Amino acid sequence: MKLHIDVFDLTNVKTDKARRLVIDTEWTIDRVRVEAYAAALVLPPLFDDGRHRDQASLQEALRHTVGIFGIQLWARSTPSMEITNMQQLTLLMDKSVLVTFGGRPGTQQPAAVARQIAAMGVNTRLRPDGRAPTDPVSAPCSPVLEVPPGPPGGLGLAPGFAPPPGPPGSGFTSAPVSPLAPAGVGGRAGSTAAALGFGEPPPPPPPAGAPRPMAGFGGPPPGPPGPGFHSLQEITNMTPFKRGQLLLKLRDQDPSNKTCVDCDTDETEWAATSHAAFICIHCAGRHRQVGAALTACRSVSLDSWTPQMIFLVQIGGNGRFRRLLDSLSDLPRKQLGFNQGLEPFQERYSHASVQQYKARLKAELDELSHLDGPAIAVRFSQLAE
Amino acid sequence: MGSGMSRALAKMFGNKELRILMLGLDAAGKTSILYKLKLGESVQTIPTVGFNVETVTFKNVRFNVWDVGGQDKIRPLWRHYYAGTQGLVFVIDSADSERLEEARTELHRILGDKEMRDAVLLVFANKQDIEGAATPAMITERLGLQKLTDRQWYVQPSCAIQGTGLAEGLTWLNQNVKQ
Repeated sequence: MKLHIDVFDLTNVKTDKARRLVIDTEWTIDRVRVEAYAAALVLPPLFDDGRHRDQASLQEALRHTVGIFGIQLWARSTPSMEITNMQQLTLLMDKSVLVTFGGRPGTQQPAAVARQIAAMGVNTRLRPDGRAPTDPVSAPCSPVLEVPPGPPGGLGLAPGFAPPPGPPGSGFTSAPVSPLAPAGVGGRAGSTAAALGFGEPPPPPPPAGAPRPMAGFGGPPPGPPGPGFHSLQEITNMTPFKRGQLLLKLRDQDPSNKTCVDCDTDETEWAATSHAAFICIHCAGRHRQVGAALTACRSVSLDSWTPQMIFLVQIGGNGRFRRLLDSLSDLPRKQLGFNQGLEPFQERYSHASVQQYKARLKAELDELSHLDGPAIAVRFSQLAE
Repeated sequence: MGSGMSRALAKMFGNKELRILMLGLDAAGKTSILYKLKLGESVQTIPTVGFNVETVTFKNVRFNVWDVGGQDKIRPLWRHYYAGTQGLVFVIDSADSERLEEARTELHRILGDKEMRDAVLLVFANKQDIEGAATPAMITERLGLQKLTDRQWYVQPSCAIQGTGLAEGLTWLNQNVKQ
């Protein structure tokens, strides 16, 4: 297992966005936990709090921790750190370390830190503005840390537990890194990730103009159905890892899935699985408040998805749901800003047609789940007529 | 020695400190409970990625409450918070009866860990304000709590938004945590 570090430069991100990227900077941690030791090894100049006798004991702690799975760590700036505005350091599930900078604009530190880490022989990428990764800070070199894998099977991990298929950013922190998630699915970013050894290279995205069946309430529009429907059986037979990749692909190949169906921000790390629509973390908070009777939501990367949920995304998706919403004249508010409170969400998701849509998706799932891929495409287009 | 001294002082002045770990499925209301306790007001939460930790002082007792995110892929991280936990607060969305079985599995997995041997268990049967919410008796049954013979446990109905039941829960913890 290799260790990689991504340095996210968020210093020039708009304050509002930065606030969302860095969930809460006011937390202080008065206990240095084992996670911190893990970080201490990676960034000793920043994190060595003097509690460890030597580097070897730090390393031991790291092996213990990282060998199992990644840990998230919130770090507090302390005067002893050279970096004064480091707000978050995350050791991701896929054994990558994520360092995020935010807050004060105009600092040159992220790049400096990236270089500093690269100089330590750890694979490092700098990601300006938390978006697409730039090229590796230094040419990919053999990682200094070879972390032994955890005890096999002894951890009781859920079957769905697999390294996130995207770049490391799509793993543990959802808000801070969501803009990056699409980057890892194909193209340049994917190849960078592959070059750095982040698991196997993801499949290339479908051609840009690939038709994808989408539909309003009445079903998909007539016309040739898009290729590439997966039957429920196929999805069920996939490994959890492949399934996760499929979910990301389904999200990223359709532009409408890249903006939150509720508030239109370009961040869709969460989804209302009940309505097969992608949303942002803030709207996910509202969905949870609206209650389990009306909607259910899940994180794209932090939750495991059942084959049925992924199948539902194939036949649903933001485009289709949005067209329904746009067609409802008695639901005037089309965009629910995430600071608008709960009431418009309640109004939307308790609306009879929206509830019917949810039931309809479920009925379609039941009907289509017995068919194979091409048959789904045919039946799906028949539903539209 | 220093800590022995401070413990003695704490005893004298009634400044007890308890380490509480709050777990439960995603969207159960853990963060809402934490901030209702801390701030006395209902806050707009977003899903917890990572954890929140706050110290809540209630009747001269300092509760160090750790609230850890409940998404299913990050549940394996819970065990890193077990060490030193005196009270486990397990939060249930009483209105989500479909996931009570999942909650039961997670709860028993936590209780089976040897680091949690000495922790008392408080279950918040949360979201009692929602129509059709499961009653504490139903929760007790669905979670299989009757089987827990060698552990102190209690099911407290609660509503994080209104704050009902939260003080009662802390009182129970204070009275039952083993010092």
